Amino acid sequence: MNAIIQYILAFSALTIALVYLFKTFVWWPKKRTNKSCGNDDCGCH
Amino acid sequence: MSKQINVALIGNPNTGKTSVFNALTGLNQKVGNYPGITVEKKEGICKLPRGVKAHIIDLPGTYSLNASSLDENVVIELLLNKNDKDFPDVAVVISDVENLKRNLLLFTQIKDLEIPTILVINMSDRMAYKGISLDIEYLERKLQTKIALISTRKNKGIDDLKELITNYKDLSTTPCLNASSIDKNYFDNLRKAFPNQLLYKLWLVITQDVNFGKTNRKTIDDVSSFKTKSKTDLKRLQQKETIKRYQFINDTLKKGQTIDLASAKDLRIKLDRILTHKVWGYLIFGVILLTIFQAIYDWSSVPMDFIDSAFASLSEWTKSTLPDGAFTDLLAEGIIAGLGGIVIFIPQIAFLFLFIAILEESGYMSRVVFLMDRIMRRFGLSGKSVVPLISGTACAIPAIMATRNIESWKERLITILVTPFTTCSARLPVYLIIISLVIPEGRFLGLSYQALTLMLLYLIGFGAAVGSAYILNKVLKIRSKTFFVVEMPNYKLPLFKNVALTVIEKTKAFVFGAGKIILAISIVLWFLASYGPGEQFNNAERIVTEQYANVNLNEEELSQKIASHKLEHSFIGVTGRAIEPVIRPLGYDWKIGIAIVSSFAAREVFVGTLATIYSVGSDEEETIKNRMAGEVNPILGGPLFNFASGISLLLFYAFAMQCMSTLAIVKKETNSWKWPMYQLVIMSGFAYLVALIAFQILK
Repeated sequence: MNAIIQYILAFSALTIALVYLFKTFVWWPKKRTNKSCGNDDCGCH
Repeated sequence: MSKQINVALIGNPNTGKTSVFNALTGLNQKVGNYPGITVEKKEGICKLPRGVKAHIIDLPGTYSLNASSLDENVVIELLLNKNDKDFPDVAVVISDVENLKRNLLLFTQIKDLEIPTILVINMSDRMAYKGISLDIEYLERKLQTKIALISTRKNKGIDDLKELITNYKDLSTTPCLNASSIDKNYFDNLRKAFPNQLLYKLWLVITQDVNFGKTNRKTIDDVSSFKTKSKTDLKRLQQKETIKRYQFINDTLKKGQTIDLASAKDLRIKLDRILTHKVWGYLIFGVILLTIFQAIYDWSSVPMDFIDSAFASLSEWTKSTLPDGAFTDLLAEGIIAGLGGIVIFIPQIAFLFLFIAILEESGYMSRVVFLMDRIMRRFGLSGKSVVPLISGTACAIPAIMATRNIESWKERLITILVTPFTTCSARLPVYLIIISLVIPEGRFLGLSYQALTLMLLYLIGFGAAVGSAYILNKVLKIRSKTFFVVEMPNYKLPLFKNVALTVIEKTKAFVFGAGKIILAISIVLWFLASYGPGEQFNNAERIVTEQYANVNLNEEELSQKIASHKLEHSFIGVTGRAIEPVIRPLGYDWKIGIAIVSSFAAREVFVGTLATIYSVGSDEEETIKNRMAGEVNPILGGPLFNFASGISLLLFYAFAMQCMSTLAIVKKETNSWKWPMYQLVIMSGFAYLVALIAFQILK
């Protein structure tokens, strides 16, 4: 029983680590486009 | 419900803008002394009297609204875009009491945009020292604004400033300069073509090369009743505008400001004469560097040894206290060992940042920028490139972002490409552990060989940056104009609070930024090192016992042989041995190979990886350094980390592009994958070649 719990904890840690590394280095969030200017000429007029 | 207003802090570099931001918001911010440190917009909340809340934006330092660099564009884009959520209800222009004339140019430009504007005169504590007196009432009348005379160093005048911000609606928005006076005909036509627009705003849209969305010069050109002038004519008008503004400022200050030179006591000129001298200047800088590296070594050895043994004990305690099993092993051999490999370097990194912060705070760093400009120019860089190169000692990522204040695209691109050669804090753990293993502990003229080696590595990094800049300057066919203006701030006694905040923030960023990656990689590596495919791994005990049946080994020696056999046939061992032929000529074994591959994520992962690999299967309470020192070269015999392989590794890390995040930021800043890919291939190829030559000569 103890061994099973230890395996579950260890593999959970591995899953979290892999997801974190994937998110950090592989799945970069899409670059946000600069939308500070709206449809009315950025308020310049 | 409390009301929130937007407040923009704007000002020339080195006017103490960030200090005012700190005083208003209480947020911890970096306060530097050389120009261009604020390259990103910083925000914070300030509670004002009568329940008003202010959203404060600390904008990049700019000398005027005639932008010449990317970070100056940020200021203009915000001030011209009423729809921006950060568009200020009130602009607070920070000026320095000693440079009021120059600072007022920006003030008059912002005021002419008809934004309620407060003038803050900072560093008032230096007025008596410099023989300056001000007639505030007269200045307020003439500039049609409210003035806060403050001193962030002495914490004076901040409450008055908060009061002025709260009452911003009482401020006059009358312009300082009538735009039509620049060129009556031209501005009359402009007014006719765009009758509902603010004239000075239109003028900025026409003259500035910034992103205004749909409103750009083409739109203005397309209006048939109006035609923009040629570039040369526009430049001439801009010059005329500046002259007119200075006429107004001179006139204002003639009565509003008195400077009694007889009562001024100035040490600055004498100090500058020595510190920027063409011989003494460089010598003093060299001595300062030597002192820093010696201190880093001497002061940090005790806390480092303590941390190293504490982690070894913690790992041992975990194994003996927690129930046996996979998770306990992961904790003891993977997580604790991996983290220990990074925490151990906190003392040295903190000391490095302490010295850099003191140099910045005291005003000396700007003298270094000026001093280095003489050298940099010959290599296709400018004095401003020194700022990223020095910032690069912390991390290449903010350093590359700091290149935004370099006006010339060619100089900026070259600086971006060569900055990763600078010895960043991530290289430091690798250098320190290898140096401690392969460089003897003796001293030369009171300086330890280890400190001298570390300094030499920093110089190699700097030399590589400058050398490659020279080549790039010759190779890149980009035409660009170049000029160099640097502000020399006054010498100041560093403020303890600012220095302490810098050290804490930088060290925290290093530990937590790298720590998360190292923790994750340590976990993955532990699995790869603790499990393996096939017969050799699964039946390691039987195979090793049979193999050494006729050899008289005690229990401990036998278990070490089994652990070593398992590691060699684990997933990591199989992968490591596959790449071993490529790295063997450099003097490395497969374990170092794995550490090099995993440290592509971040260089400091190298030490954590080795700490994890060497911990797997070991029941000994050993420090990382001792484990590495005990490794034997499987082919040549003798220590794996000897002088030849150690120097080879140091040189490899000095030149290799081992940082994914830096590649990503270079891509972002150059808007192309071409440049980061060039960096990756050329830097790593060169690193391999140098490491190979070094090992083959020294072995």
